[in-house]
Amino acid sequence: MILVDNEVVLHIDNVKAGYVVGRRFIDAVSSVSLKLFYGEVFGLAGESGCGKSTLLKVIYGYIEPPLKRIEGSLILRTKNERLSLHELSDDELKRRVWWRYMTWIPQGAMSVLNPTIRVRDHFIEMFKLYSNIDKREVYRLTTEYLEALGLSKEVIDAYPIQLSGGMRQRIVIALALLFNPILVLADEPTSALDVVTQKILLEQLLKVQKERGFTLVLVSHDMDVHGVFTDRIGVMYAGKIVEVGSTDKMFAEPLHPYTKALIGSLPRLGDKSIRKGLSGAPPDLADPPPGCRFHPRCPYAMDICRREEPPIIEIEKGRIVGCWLYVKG
Amino acid sequence: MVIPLIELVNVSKYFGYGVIGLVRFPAVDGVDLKIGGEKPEVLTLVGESGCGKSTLAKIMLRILRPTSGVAKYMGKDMWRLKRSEVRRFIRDVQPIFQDPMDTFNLFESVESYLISAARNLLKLNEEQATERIAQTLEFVGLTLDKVRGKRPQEFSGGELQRLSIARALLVQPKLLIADEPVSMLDASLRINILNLLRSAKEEFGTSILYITHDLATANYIGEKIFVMYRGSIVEQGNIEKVINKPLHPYTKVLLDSLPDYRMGREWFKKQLPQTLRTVIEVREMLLKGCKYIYYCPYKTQQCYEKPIMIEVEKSHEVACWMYYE
Ligand SMILES: Nc1ncnc2c1ncn2[C@@H]1O[C@H](COP(=O)(O)OP(=O)(O)O)[C@@H](O)[C@H]1O
Ligand code: SF4
Ligand SMILES: [Mg+2]
Repeated sequence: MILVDNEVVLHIDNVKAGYVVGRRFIDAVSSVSLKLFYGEVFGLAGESGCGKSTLLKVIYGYIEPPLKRIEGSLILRTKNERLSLHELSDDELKRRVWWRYMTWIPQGAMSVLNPTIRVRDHFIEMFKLYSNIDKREVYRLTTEYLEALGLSKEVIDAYPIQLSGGMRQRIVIALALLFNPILVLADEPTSALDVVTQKILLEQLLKVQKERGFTLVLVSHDMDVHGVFTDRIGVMYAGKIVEVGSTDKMFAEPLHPYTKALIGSLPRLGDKSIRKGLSGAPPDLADPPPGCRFHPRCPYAMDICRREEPPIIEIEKGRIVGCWLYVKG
Repeated sequence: MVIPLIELVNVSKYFGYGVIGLVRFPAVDGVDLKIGGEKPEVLTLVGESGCGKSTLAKIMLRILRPTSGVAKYMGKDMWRLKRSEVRRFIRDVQPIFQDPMDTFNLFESVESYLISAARNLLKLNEEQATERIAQTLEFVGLTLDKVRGKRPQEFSGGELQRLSIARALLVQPKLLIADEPVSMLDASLRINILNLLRSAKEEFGTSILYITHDLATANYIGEKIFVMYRGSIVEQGNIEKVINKPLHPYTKVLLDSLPDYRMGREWFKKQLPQTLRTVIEVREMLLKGCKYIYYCPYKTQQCYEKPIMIEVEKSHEVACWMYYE
């Protein structure tokens, strides 16, 4: 994976967003900066509640109260234009960006397919909204897409309620890819599936991703899924991205103490040696601890960690970590 | 011969489904099982969600009554016990649920709940009960001071699961039945709970039945495994043997589907049989023969009959006609 700046599809810079609930502010995406590259599979890892889904919503621009974006910029680079997503209105996002350049598969999307509408009609609706292809062509394209994802023609005529979770999820993915987006945001697409179905789905997803070359952001709390599926990983903890790196290096040599704990606590088949977890629990994002947000649970915490937030530094090309242990001098 | 603590003999449980429950399907189908012999052990029951694990657990916990077959406690039909025997059963067999909230009463402080549990089941006075609770809490890494006056909502998920383990261990049961006890917890906390279960066996001499969809955690704490598929046990035995040399075609698929970061993209090279990609409906639950028949690349005419459990090597059995001689 070569990380060259002109290959950047999305530049997220210093984005801050969260939920306004009464007088509390839940700081779920806290000054996140990140570059996503053309054609890569980027994994967003971290435990539940750390802000993964919120970050995805903010990238997509699906911002509804109580969610609020406070600051930061998001620049999307398509072949012909450079779009400042943070400056676009909902209407402009809808018209110019969503489905065409960028799609979002929300967490649990497979359960929001309308159970009373045949699978085929979900596609026809989409085409009606976003293009002016005639019905026959729509049917042909739909069949083609679903077959590429390993689904039969019968499925197209079925109602979602008649289909298994794995199949509904494939349909949701097929819908997301309909207009050949350059960036696909998938939030825990396999978390509700059993492992066998998960494997089949991941296989097919990777195959279409390779064929079409879109950038795929995969949110998952499952480190093993990241390990087999992604090219690069960003690890989130309590609203912050604490480490970014290529998947190989991240697992071979995790840098951040949180990443170390996350990987070190995973049981392996054929290995019964005792593993250690972390003490405590992630903080309340309405009232995060000062300094490094991980310090109350960190086995390496030093004085400075309790007072000051660690800077995010690039240790080597593409290897980013936010931890005082790596700040020299 | 030692009488097993719990024994299931050809146990099935049917549920109705469809508009008025006209179609009845077996959530548990002809299960034979023995738990709790001379030595305490950690057993695991592994299968995908919906395969009947929780129904089986509830049968063993005497929450559900089997539709057919017999569930025995100390050699006697669980549903024909005397009142004193039921009390002993409750002391001996304790549950831990997926959602620790299910264990506690939202309106009662955790402390008073623990005290009443200890007093009612153990007939201890308040002082003895408090002492027993303090000991048990210490084992799960908590103290009475930390617990005092708090209601369940005030604890984190990890703490609450520790508390429900403490609650279960309070009566020093012979068997803990833990149904997906860590699946709602985050990875960094999950392992702590598994470590607790692991040491509960040593500290309290309690057998554990750990129920999960996750083979890796089962392997981490288990000595013996039961692999369940659509209501039936398809393979069982020593966990190392089963994982190193899976016999049932389903067990093989399950193992090949388990993502492992150590393999990276190579993991995708482990191909699953094409037969898994076919579209199948719930009706297969009604099959009389092997439930795996539609997906199995090796099926023969014989597979339309229910396979019997065959001992292929010592402590390693499989219910598959391929191994029948
Ligand atoms: N609609 C909402 N209103 C208020 N708080 C929310 C809402 N959605 C999420 N949160 C909070 O924002 C934080 C981040 O949540 P989320 O982005 O869903 O995390 P993840 O996807 O990593 O599990 C959590 O503290 C969560 O409780
Ligand atoms: S900055 Fe300090 S507390 Fe935070 S992870 Fe690094 S060593 Fe631990
Ligand atoms: Mg989420």
